Amino acid sequence: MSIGNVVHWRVNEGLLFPLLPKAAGSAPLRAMYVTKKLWDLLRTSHEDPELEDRIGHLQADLEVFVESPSIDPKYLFLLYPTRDAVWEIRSTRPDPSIRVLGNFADRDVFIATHCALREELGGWESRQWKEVKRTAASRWRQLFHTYEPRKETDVKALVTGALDGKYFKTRA
Amino acid sequence: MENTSKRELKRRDRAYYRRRQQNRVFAALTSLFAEEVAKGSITKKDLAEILGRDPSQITRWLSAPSNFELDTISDILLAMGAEMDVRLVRFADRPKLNFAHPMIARYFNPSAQITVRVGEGVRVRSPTSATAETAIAIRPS
Repeated sequence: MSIGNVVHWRVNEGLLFPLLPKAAGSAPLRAMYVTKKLWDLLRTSHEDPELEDRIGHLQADLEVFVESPSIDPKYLFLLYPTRDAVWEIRSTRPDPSIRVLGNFADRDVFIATHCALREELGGWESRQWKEVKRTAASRWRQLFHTYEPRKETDVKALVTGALDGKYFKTRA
Repeated sequence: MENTSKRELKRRDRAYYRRRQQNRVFAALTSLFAEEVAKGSITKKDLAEILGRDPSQITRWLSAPSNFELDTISDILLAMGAEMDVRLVRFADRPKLNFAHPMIARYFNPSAQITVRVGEGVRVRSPTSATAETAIAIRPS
């Protein structure tokens, strides 16, 4: 069975939700699925106007993956160590900057497992970063069991329209 | 006086579409810049010199979407020998058939007519609404 079938099962079970462009008539060139917690964050209304604004921006930023003809390394980045295949999508403005973590199930198919505030993560080798990467791996296993995420460092093999650039960090 | 409350835009929708515009303009700008760099036509340093700006400012502009002034966009494009063509489109006037990634196509309007094109994806009928947004195209001169 393909991992694509498992993704659709998880959607039917209410564990994953496809992120469809909110703007009418938009063409989803790539596929993104988000976990329930992220889905609830994007769908729940809040009294706080600043939070409403921030979530509106976050949704638009996530949809860049789904419909932008081009993707650049300031937006999508493979976290260290690359063998873990955990990627981040950066929603940087307005403050607070948000990181959405996840893995690729297939070319152009991103599974967003959870998100974190950048200001709480510290330096790139911090304990907090390790923790959020572990969470991504753990959520992936809960969803897909023995199916592995795509482990590639060649972003063009994973993402249609990826611009040239440095998509991951290597230890100096 | 006419009650216009039903026409009020939701705060989140306004934030979403504002950011969406920023993202689309940014993607178009950075794609064109990447093309020009690949052709050897320009570098960030060249852009800084042409515009009389600090190179760090150019890096900031090309690093993340932001609320660019139209004048700034015009200057950057002019430095790359391009300008922006502006086209306004009502959502309702958008073409009804759109391309969709095969993994996503099934989640559109269940009444959509879906045609599979093996190896390229799926064409689906997409939903429409009655408001408008701006679409942009950047054309090198």
